[in-house]
Amino acid sequence: MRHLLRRLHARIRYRRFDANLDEEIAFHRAMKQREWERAGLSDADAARRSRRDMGNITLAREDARAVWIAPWLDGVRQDVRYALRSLRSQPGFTIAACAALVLGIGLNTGLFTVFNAVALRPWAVAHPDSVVTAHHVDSGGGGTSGFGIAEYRYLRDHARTFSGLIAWRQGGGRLGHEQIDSQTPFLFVSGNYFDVLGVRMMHGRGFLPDEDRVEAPQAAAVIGHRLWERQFAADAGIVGRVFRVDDVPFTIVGVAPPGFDGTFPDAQSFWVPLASLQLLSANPAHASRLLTNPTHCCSRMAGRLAPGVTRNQARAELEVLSRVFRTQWNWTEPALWDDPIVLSGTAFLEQPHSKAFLVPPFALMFAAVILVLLLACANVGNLLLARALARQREIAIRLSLGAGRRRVIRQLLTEGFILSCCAGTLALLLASRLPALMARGVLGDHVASRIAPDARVLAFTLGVAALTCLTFALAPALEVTRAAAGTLVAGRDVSPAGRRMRSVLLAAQLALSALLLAGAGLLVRGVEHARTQDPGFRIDGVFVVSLAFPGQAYDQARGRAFVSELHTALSGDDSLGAVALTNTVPLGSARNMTGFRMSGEDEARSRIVQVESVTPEYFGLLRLPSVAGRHLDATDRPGGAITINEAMARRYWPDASPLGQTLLFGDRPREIVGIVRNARTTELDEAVPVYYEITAGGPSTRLLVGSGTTNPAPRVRAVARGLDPRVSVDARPLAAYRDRSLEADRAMALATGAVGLLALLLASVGVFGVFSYVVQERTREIGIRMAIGARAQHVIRLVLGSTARTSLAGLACGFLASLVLSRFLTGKLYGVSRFDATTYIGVAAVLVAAATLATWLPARRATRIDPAAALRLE
Amino acid sequence: MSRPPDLVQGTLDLLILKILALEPLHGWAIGQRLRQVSGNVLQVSDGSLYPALHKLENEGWIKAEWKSTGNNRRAKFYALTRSGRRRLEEETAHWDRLSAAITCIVRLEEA
Repeated sequence: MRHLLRRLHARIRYRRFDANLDEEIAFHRAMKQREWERAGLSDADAARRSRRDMGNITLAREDARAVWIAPWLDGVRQDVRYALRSLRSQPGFTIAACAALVLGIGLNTGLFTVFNAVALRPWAVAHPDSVVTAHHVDSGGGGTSGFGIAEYRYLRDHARTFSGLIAWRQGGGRLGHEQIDSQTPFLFVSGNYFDVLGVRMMHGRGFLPDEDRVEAPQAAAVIGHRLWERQFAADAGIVGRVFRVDDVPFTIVGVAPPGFDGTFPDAQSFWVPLASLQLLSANPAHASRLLTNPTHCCSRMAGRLAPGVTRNQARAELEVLSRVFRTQWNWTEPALWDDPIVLSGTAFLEQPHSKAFLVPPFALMFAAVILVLLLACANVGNLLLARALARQREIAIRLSLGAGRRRVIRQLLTEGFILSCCAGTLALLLASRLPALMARGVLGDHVASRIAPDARVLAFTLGVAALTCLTFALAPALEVTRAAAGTLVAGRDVSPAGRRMRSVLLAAQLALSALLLAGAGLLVRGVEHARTQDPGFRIDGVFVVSLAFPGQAYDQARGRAFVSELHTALSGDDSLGAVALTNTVPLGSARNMTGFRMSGEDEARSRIVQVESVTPEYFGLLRLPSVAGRHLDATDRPGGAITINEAMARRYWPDASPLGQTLLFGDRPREIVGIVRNARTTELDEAVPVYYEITAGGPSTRLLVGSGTTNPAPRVRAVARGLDPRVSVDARPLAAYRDRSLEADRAMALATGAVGLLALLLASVGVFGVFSYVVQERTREIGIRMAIGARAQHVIRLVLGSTARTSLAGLACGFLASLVLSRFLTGKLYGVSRFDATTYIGVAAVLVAAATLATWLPARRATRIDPAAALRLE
Repeated sequence: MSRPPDLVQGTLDLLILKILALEPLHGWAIGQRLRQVSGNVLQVSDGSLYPALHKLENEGWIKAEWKSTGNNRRAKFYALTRSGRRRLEEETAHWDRLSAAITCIVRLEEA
């Protein structure tokens, strides 16, 4: 121990240690010299003799030193100081290299921060490792489903492997002051939600057990921190205030701490007890059945494991209890009594089936930013190579004096490492700003609150920095030390191997930027095409009218009656054009699905298909022609005949005609009386099978009004007010729904485009740098040629020479790669061909222009070389 | 010294420790004493002396102190520590065993 301390002491005070060692050896030599003097030699001779007698002092000194200070540590310190000095002496290079690296690493860190916040972070609760989410596995489809509230309550009361179980359902509602058609997400949660999760309230408290009783629902709410700041101006006396949800007053009992956003992937604004589902539903009886009926499904469930319990044990117990519950209540399907349960962690990525949702957009963006990083590495690698080639003489001397090749490589790598470290630090700073912007674009507002770098992001950045250092610094270092030995005598010319590597790096840069730009170009064209192409139905001139009913006053029957009265009143109005009703807005986010089976099949063969519940004017309004049979018309009734679209016909009756066929919905037979042309009302890029039926009304019925360019809202409002002034009306053009459905893709296309332009900038700077260097290094040669009589065009051809050939090869490779890899983009292209000529020609033009611009300046400088001055330069 | 290096290094440690057991000396004096006492048979090269001294100091068997000598010069004087004394005893015992064994073999009568 003491001897470790001694070593440490020597390492820290190494200068003093060196001085002492020198003095010790100098004393020894002085004594030896005195002895020789006494033996009769002159002063000078004695000095020389004593020095010779000491043998190799330097080696002895090094050996003595090596006992205390490990030689490799010494070497590292030397390398770092040398690297810092040489970087400082060439500020232009250092800044350019650093900037390129900051860009590459920063983009990667930014994207990873977003990914971390969305997919990898567990919930912001106490001890998240012991919290798990529970799902039932669908034995048939392989999907997962939740738990019924009655089942949840049973499990909560009987499970001993959990210290607490919670359940929640997603809700959406209009806060007091907001516009109709805007839904604020919130959660219905069980009474023990905040206690089990261990969330400490910032103001007030969580829910009491009394507040979540089905028999006596309480209108209590806990609001989130962001809502508190934005809507209630961070009022400190917030507890006890009342706010309205869908016109129902709720009392605020607490404010959640900042950082807690709920247990859903999207950020939640506030939480209310499960029992209050009855207060907010248009059909309270249905809501209370949902809360008590043992066969109803599906809410989400999670829980905190009791100390010392493993997930397997907990899962086994839940499965047993679930089976007991279901057999006890005689579930409709005995096959479902043994549904397996799966427990997973709270991070979004760990939830079953989250990967299909997360992977495609993130994979695309990660691919893009990794390409930019590689580009930056190639750029910096080229710069480093140029510098190393300039120092070839120095390196050759070192190698011939006896420095190991590994040692010289280590020194060159140290420079690269310092660059990466600086860039990494700056990138982390950048990453605290950038991700918020990226996330808002790609994923919407909800997630932005949780985005901030944490330890995982830091580790990621360090890893990326180290990898980039290796990538861009290793190859040039190897190359230069290999070539250095033979060039000592040859003078300043660059070895052919060095030149080749430089061209390769340049070609790589151009290939990568071609790839990125082509990808970006395709995406942008795809989104534009989606906006302008014909989706198979009419969008222009159609408005979607939404109604909002005052809370408790309207139940389902009254609402239906009102809508139908309004429909009749408006249909008679000439100024409005056609008016139709529909339960799901085209290109909206909601869709209704039902199960059906062919006549003669049994229950097990039930298929799921999407349904549009409409009135007969729908088809005329949206210009959907009938391709066989007839349209639904005024003679049809809800629950009666149906028509299907071409996609459904093709899927289920590929050979026969479906007209006249009867399908069974539950027990009711319904006849297919017509086939409608495909309309891409669900997704813009493909037609899904859909059947149409006459609507029976419903809580979300909207009106479609084909009023051309004039907004029908004033007229509709006037009519509605005549029927009941409490109902509020809002109208929005159908085009707005289309744009909203494209928003995410548009953001991603723009982001990729921005990244592509950055890549182009990097590549252009790289081209400029390389060509400038080439001109500078061949100045003497150019001067000689010009002196002998070469003209400007010969000089330019010389300068561009082989580098141009490899650059073109690089561009070609890039295009080829993008042709091959665009396969992965097909989902986002909305019908634009992968081999779209416009995109490729456009990208080629941009790249050629950029390359020309980048080489123009150096080439001009080359032609301006004064032969006399160049010859004197040697 | 013409013997193989490893034997020299181990023995050199023993020799230095023994010399310092008698009185504290600086590096030059150690070399001189070694030569004198062995009758000019054993001479340490300066290249081996200082690394050996530093190694012994690193291990904690000798400690160093800067003192001034007669001629107003500073020199680094080494002295034996308590653990150094223990090490000296171990090494001496080891040397005795080793040399006795070698002597036995060398003195074998040729048949």
